[in-house]
Amino acid sequence: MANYIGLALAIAGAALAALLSGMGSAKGVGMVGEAAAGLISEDPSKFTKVLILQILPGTQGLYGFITAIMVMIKIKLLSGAPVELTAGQGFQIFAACLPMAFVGFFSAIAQARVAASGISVVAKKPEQQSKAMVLSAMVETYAVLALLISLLIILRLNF
Amino acid sequence: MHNKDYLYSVAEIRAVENSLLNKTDLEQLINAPDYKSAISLLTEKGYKEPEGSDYSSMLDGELSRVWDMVKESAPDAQSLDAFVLKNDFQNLKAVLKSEVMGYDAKDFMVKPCVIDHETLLDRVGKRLFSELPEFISETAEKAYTTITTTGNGQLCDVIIDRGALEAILSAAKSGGDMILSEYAQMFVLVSDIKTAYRCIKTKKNQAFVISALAECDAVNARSLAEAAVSGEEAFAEYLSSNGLSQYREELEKGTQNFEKFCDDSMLEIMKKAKMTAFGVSPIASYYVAKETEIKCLRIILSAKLSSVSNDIIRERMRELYV
Repeated sequence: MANYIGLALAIAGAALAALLSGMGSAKGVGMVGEAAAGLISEDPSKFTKVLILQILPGTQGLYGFITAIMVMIKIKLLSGAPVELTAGQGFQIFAACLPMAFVGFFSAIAQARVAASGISVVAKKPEQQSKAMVLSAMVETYAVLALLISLLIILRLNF
Repeated sequence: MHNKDYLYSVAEIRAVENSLLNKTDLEQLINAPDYKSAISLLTEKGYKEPEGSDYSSMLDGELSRVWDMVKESAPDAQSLDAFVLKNDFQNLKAVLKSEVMGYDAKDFMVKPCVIDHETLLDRVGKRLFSELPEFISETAEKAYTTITTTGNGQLCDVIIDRGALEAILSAAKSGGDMILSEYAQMFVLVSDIKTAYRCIKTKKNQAFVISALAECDAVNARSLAEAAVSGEEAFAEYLSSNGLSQYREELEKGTQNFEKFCDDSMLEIMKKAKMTAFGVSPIASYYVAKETEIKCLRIILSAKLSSVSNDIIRERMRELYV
């Protein structure tokens, strides 16, 4: 029974990383898409410029996915014969997933706000699009740091 | 992010803001040798060509088009109504007076407005005031009773004007947007000062002045009324003691200067929306910007028709949003 709890905790961590990051990204990409549609309704020629901004909050979902895959590799879930984990070990993996899960969720929405504001920059001054992208990309830093921490912990766990 | 952030609408508005006229465009229009050349320049900027010298209908149509676009873009933004409610109350005046005097109210009704003309005519005609929207129903009934019982058109106007100011304040407040609330507060303040000043000139009694003024944050309506009844000096003193001495100075320079000063000050409030990424204020500021642009165009085109000098036109130009 203890073995199952460990495995369940590890899987729950992987699921949480993918779930929250994915939710944040879905909301973020949707928000920027909404703003982008407003601009395209008046000026369809700016589609490619706003598409780049819309993609930016989508990366957190990808990071959550990577974290979940790394957990699955670590516990050999993909091979079909998962390793036996104690509850403590399972909880360690669960804890390792938390940075990506929560930072992914909140940073995707924060990044979307900046990117949606960037749509207004593209609308008024299309030549300043790169600055809008840089501002939005700054938020990405924290998602990347969270991904690194989650991955480093998962990789450094010895079992 | 909340729905009231109006992501779609703000981006759409930012795109159309690029087509607003700037100072250079207005200068070109002012320097146009005649009315025809000015119209030609305007049509190049996307305005429709008016029929002959009837530029007013063309500009009215443009403002209505912009309002329709704004409402279509953000249909649930009720606080935007604060910017056109004055027209609804103007229409109410026209309908009530037509009821008493028997002329066709449609000739005096304006757009854009919240209540369509037919509905207002129908409800007032059938005395179904309670079927009018809440912001106007009580005022409409009160004004109707006044004009039919006393025949006093001026008192009827005062009731409607005050009702309009209160409705504007309430609509702007409903959205919870600071910029819109500030704009509405200034709108009421300016209207109160103008009304009080007019009352001084026409020597109205205190009860009349109090009934004509609406409450706002900057001044106490009762104190302003008391000052107005006491004469110009007391009125000026009251404005100065409330940090409104600039309004007094502009009033002393003349009505046109005062109107320009008020328009510029109100636009200055809306310019804050330039730095706002989301919410209803960027949408509202575009409408105000367009309204100001059209006001400037009216001055220019009217001056071109009556061959007023370019220097006088420049003096009357309002500040622009862009």
